[in-house]
Amino acid sequence: MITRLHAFAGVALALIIVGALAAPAAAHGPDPILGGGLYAQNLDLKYRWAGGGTPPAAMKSAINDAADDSNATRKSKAPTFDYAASADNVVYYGSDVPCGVNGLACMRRDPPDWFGVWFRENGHRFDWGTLRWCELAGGPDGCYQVENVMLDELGHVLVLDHHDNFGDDSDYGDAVVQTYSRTKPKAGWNAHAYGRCDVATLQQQYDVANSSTLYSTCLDVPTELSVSPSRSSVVAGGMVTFTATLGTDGTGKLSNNLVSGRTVVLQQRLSSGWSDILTMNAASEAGTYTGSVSVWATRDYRALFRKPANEGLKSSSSPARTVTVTAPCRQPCPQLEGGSGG
Amino acid sequence: MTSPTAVSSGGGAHRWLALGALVVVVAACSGPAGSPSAASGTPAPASAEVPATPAAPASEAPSASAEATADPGGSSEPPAALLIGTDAGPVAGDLGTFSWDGLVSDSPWIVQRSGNAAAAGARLRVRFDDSMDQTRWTARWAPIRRGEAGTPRAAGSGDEGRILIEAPAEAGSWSLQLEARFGDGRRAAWYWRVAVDG
Repeated sequence: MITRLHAFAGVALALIIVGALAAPAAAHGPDPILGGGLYAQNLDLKYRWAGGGTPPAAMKSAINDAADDSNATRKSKAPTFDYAASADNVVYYGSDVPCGVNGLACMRRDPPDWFGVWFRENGHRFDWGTLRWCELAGGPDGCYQVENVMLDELGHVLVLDHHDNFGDDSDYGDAVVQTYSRTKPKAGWNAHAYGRCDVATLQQQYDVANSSTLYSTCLDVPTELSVSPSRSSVVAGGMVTFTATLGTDGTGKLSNNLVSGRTVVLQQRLSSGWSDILTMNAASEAGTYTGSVSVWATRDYRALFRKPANEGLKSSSSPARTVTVTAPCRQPCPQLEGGSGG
Repeated sequence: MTSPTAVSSGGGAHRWLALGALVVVVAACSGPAGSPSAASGTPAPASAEVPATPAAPASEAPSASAEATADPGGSSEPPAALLIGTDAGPVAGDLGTFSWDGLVSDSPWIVQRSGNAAAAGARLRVRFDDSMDQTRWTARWAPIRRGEAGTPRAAGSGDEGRILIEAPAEAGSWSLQLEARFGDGRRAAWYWRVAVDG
């Protein structure tokens, strides 16, 4: 029997080791960051066209669209972008670019002072092919989209380095800021919104936009929940209002954030375990939820936040709070306490 | 609140020095300012912004250009990467996307028009010029279909030490991507085309 157990344990261990070795080597998570620091939160970064390197009209339009894309999908307090003829930051288009021998476009940043973006000219002949910008070349297959590439560059300006993909690129859609750009019509060639792992890093570095902003599903941020009853002792049937506060317990910018607009439930402890009583209502104060119940017996109560499917927050529950019934019920008492939110 | 005011507030002395240097360089140049330099070895950041300078009014103070010409790290591009073990001796890879000393360049997955041959399952090695040692590397093979890279698959990864990659077991045309990091935020990708013999 002991020998059989040993054999089983050995096989199990071997399976665990093999499984670990077979795991994908590339890590998947928020985009890495570039050095050089950050801009101020919600700063409005202006850019202009470089003299002597002004993009054609169709390209200008695509670049401005990309700025709008960045502003609309940053889901954080990352800076916004806007064109202004008097700006110090420049966008250049032409043949004289510092992008290396094979770069389509490139970027240099020096927060908080300056950034520049360069686009190589349409029709440039590399050793491996000819560059076609979709907006300038009529959109043939094999072209690169300026709007998509500019969004990638703006992600760099904000702080994003290239996303680390799985070996098979099955997560390519998780980021616009990619190690290689895709041509039309491959998936992702015309993405006009930051991917979830781009957003994750922007949120880590600049904080979420407000307490109602969803946390990127590329994150897994711990939460912290507290609850307090309006009274800790009541006569049977007395109404008690519970107030819960939900916040983040992450690191950096994602610590101690109040979290509003989520689903928080109030639970009571029965002999069978914790059981939901009601869904608490959002209060006017950020991160705060309330619910009232009639208390018929001495019980423990707690608030619970379940991990949502649509964002990267972890579950949490508050410490239990006991509400004591000081005078017993004189009529037939209900089996289960009722309650109502708000 | 906005960047224009921020520009005048920081690094002023450095900026003026750099701007002065730029003016000297521009004055020394005899060719038309707006045309690309014939010398391809011209430091790229400078050449990229030189066209902007003459066109900008003096009041515009192209400090942006000064920033662009600054080369804080000396080496502005990643080293050459050599693939060893094909039928052609060490073969330099095509540099793709890189982040290097503040410059971030974006490239496609580069599929060369021609390449070198290797036996199926052959042991290949990559080393870098300039005695640079990587801190982390990842390699992937992608089959080449109609001149483009197909869905890639992992071909190995590691930290310091030798970069060893096994050629695919299947015969055909393959594209090899190697990504490497070198510390201080420096990272780059290189590409090779390899014809694998059956």
